[in-house]
Amino acid sequence: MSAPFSLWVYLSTTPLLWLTLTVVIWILADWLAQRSGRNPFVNPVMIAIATVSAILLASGTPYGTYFNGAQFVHFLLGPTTVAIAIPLYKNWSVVRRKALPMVAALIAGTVTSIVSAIAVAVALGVPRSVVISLAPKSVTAAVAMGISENLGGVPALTAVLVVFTGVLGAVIVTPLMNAMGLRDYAARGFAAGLAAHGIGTARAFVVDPVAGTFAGIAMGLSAVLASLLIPVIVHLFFGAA
Amino acid sequence: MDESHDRFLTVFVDHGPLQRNERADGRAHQPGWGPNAMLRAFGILLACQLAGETLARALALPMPGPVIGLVMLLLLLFAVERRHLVAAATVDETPLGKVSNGLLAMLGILFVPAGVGVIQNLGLLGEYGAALFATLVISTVLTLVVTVWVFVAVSKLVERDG
Repeated sequence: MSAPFSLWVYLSTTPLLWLTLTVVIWILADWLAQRSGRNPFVNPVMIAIATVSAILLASGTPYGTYFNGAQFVHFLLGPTTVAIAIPLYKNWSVVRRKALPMVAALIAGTVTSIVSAIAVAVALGVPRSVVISLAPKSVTAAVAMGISENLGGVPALTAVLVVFTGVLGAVIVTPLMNAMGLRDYAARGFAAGLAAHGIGTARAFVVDPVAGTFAGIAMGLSAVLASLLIPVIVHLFFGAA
Repeated sequence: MDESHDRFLTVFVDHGPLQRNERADGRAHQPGWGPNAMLRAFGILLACQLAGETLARALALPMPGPVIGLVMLLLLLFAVERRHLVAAATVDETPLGKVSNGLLAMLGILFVPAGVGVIQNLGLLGEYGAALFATLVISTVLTLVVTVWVFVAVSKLVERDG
């Protein structure tokens, strides 16, 4: 066995290599996004996922091996969700004034998200288990996977659809809101967090700190409401499981 | 206030108690929060998440643990504010603020590991790729438009009546 090959065999199974790869690719992807002037179409999450996936496929590395390293990054989703308390506390006076619009937009947006996803997918002939995996697409990843599993979906597929929805929402939100002529950054951020969870929130924080705060609130509240509504709406569409 | 309690609360304040009590030996003290301030701040985030997860499991709440943790940290901040140790204007300058904002600044990378799971689902995605893509685009645009429209409309109603 040649030396470089045995080195690869060793490194490719250590968490260190895949953790480092995730961090390095992210820094490059984020640098590209910055160079583009934070153009919404140059989304660093999308670039990093595509690049890492291509490297794994080209090197024949199983996802499980990759995740052994990447789980250290994945784990930080929890404490980072808790950390949203800081911008929330900082902007509390703005948040309190917007309580009523938030509650109304939360209900309208969450119902729209779930019903439109299920209705369009059913109309396009997507099978039931995939439709159920799709229903929580706007909910933050960990919660969405739990909802999907409880209702007979495929949690791994849900995770991918959630991330894809997040990227899509983060790409669409800025041009869409500009086209609608909306300057209310609280409203824009709230919509981004509701439709595109953490990835929309990440985008909102890049655009404006108030937008980011409202996105974070929307992400948290819609996760709660969606976990209550999705079982009911799925039942209405498909009857008893 | 006893010393250890004081040290715990420094994570929330923008300057530590060491700055208030000049050291008797005249040595230039390290202004700030004392040792391990950032680690203690991270510890608070983890502890809130743990408490949130525990509560969610124990009471079978539909809310995700980290979201309950977020609410608990917010309540903790309001409690500390009552003792005039933290304020909205200065929270970014505290260790807890710095650690939290640091994590939020790199929120995007946290979704990469889950997203790379796409390589496990290439079969399903290939079969229904076009339908799924169309569904996600239509549903996401609808959700964004409805949410922002209701938010703005209700804001205007509230402002007119208020």
